[in-house]
Amino acid sequence: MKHTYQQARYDEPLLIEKGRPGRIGASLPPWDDNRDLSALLPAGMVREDLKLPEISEPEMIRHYVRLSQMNYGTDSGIYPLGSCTMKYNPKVNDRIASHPTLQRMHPLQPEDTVQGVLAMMYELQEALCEIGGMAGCTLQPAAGAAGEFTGLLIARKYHETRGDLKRDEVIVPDSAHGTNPASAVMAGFKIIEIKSAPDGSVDLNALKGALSERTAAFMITNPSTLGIFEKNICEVQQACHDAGALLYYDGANLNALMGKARPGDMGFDIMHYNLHKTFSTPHGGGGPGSGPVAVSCDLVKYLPVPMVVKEGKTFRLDYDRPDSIGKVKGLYGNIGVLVRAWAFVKVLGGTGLKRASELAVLNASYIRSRIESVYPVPFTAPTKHEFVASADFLKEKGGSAKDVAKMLAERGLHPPTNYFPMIVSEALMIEPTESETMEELDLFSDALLDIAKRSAEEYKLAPRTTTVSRVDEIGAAKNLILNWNQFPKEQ
Amino acid sequence: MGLRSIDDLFQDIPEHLRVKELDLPPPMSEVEVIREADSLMNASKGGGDMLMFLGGGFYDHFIPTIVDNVVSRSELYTSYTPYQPEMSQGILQALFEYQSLMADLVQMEAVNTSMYDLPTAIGEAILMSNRINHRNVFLIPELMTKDKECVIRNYILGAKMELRKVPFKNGAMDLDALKGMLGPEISGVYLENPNMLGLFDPGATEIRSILDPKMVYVVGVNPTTLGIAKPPGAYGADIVVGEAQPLGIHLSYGGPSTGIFATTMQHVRKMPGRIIGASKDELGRRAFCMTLSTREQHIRRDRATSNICTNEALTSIMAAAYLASLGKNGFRSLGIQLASRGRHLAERMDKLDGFTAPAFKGHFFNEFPVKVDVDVCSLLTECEKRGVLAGINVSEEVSSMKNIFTVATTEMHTSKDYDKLIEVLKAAREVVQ
Ligand SMILES: Cc1ncc(COP(=O)(O)O)c(C=O)c1O
Repeated sequence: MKHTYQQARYDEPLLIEKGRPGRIGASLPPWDDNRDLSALLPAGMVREDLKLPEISEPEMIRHYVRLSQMNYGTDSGIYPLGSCTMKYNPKVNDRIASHPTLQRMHPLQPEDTVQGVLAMMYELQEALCEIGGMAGCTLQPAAGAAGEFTGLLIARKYHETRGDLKRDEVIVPDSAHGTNPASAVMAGFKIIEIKSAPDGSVDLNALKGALSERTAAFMITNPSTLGIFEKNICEVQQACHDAGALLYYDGANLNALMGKARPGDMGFDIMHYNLHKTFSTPHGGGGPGSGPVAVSCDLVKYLPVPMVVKEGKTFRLDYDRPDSIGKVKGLYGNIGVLVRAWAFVKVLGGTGLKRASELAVLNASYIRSRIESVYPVPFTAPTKHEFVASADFLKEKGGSAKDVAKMLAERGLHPPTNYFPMIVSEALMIEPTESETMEELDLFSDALLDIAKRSAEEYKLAPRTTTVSRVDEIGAAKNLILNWNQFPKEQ
Repeated sequence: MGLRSIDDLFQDIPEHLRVKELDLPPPMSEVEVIREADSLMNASKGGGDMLMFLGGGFYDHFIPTIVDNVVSRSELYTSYTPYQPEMSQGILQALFEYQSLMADLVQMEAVNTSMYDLPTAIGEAILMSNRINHRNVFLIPELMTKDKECVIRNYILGAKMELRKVPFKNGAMDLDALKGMLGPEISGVYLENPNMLGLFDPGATEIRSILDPKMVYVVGVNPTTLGIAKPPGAYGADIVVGEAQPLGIHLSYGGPSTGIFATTMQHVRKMPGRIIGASKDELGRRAFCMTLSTREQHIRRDRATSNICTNEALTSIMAAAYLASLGKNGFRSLGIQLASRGRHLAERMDKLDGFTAPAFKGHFFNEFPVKVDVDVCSLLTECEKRGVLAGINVSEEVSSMKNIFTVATTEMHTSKDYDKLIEVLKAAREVVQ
């Protein structure tokens, strides 16, 4: 198979290695009443030396353009990172978030000066409630994990308020994302992990065995981490509620279900959304994101303060909520992200969101149908927006899921998530999203099929076309170099 | 694929759970959504539409145009967390540079790529302090906004820690009171410098010597002050946190921005968040990758140092681009100018009948407390009616402080803006009187 990909490679110096003394890339407005430093600061508080780069504006933009050319985003090509929903980030969203009024809007301005933004927040809350089938929503959490933490604080408060003080356990399946148990511990719970059934679904018996008068909540995604719709969802719901526990929905996989089914209708009590996944906001190389939380009727009173409420035609931040859990983030949330998600919902509308989920599922199912005969999918249930295939068969010739990833990178295609979930050996978790064309899906599938035929020797060489070849990650952890002052001195 | 219709793909969803249609408005064209957004934004105001002197950790600084250009590079902003280092060297180097710039600025060794914001960074710092010394009581200043305190209280719930408040005296932390509160159960102390009122805390450089060696000293900073003020690393901080918004990040009604988090190499393995390290590729070339992942949730799950996964990477890169753009000389000059403007404005306000500025003796940067002899709430409302947001009422935060508000200025203000503020304050006080 012919492939000609070549990622840029510059021997680009670090910012501090560039420039010359005296250069500057910005200018300050004039000010003629400057005081003496010694008068401005308490004795002993004056800074002696300041180490910062000295570079010009053109040097700086070249630096970052080169860095960007040594990077890969959804704007570069397919990015089928399972569980991460790397869909296209519409440019109109950025335009709206860059409105000069919003950019210079201070968080402590009076409410009557920020009505437009409050209106957007309110509309987004309402839309998210409708999409999730929930009764109330907060936009405060800054990411999915922060949403989980918020939701679990709500669960905690709910049980406490009812005088049900023994509930100190949260159950998660062994396929759960790492943030689920980590968030539950931060909210003060012990973790009970249950094994998944052989078909990848929740093992009802294991769940019933784990549920008790100590269970505060059961956390799952649906579709599961394997991309499978939870066939026992009604029984799961029944079992949890019979035991007095709440059911938590990790919204990382909502892209399969918009306009098709709603967590609220399935009996979930609390859910979070990942706006940087399902709602098309850019992931920024690690963030910012946003993880709104929505809850059923009985739990609305516990949502964080402030809530955006509407009274007549005006919007207000409501702090007067005596049962609220308080706050999980400063101020009101990642507004720049919320505004982008607002635009996404507006442009797609109800029918468009539904279509997005349909295409996401179609695209994943298509890739599965193209590669399944070579990369086994260990579960027979139909695929939703993503699926997990195994590269275990490559072990025989000394290959691995990691090798597949590096071979894809070599062809300029972003690899799927690998080694997650841990319950599938040599896992390749593939989520193309609705954004990809048939041509791109074929390119990706063809590449996977071709890679399976390659030899272990070739695997070990990959990737050769990326900016660097395999990075010594073990070495990085052993000899820590975390800033530019820590490089070993050259001899 | 042997399918007849899209619906075949959804047969596994039980019939009674399927929804027909979402009750949402119909799709909009791009023009329409822009029009609607513009009309909502035009019904709102920002720093460009009215005169404001609001601070509290968030400031309307000038952002060099290049900063937005840098983060508009879509190879950077449309990428995920760099799990595949070979094809992500750009974002990795940019974040490594952020870590380095911030390490130099606060004078610490290890900086993570970001926390969600300052309040969550303080919460994480207290949890980390508990991991370091297994002690359960943490001291915070009485001068702290409710917004922050509320977040922190939730962060420490799971660790079953207790917060105690160190009182203030003359607008700074009361060191005698602090000494009296220390004991073997104290895990550490958090000091904000400058504090909630905008005042530098003269005790900051002494606190390390008051604490026993096991206690953790956490310092919160406004990073812009560090062009001229001594960095916390130089006076013994074990953890430094801060709000990076003033470093070239748009206000955006309070988010997104970056929570700064820094510590020493001694404690780096107890730190939360993503960390980028330098290494080499197979050909021995310099290369970057995420490191120390065994602290994190995707490996350590319920025993991780934090639940944080998605963070605020892109705004950290804005902060880095901002610092590099101003550079050594620009950033220092900016610091001098801001502190001088603060002085200038305080002196002018102090001359007004009924106003004392600063309300407490002390040094400050671009924000300072003002005491007024009328009801502060009514005063600020009267100013607002005259088109000026004159400051933040901090009497609402600490009950012992009556009729005090903080005023913040930046390089965006002109001399005429100061004239206008003075005129409006005078008129507003007369009306309220
Ligand atoms: C299944 C699942 N749950 C939770 C999360 C955490 O979300 P975030 O990274 O926004 O904190 C993720 C994504 O990383 C995920 O894939």
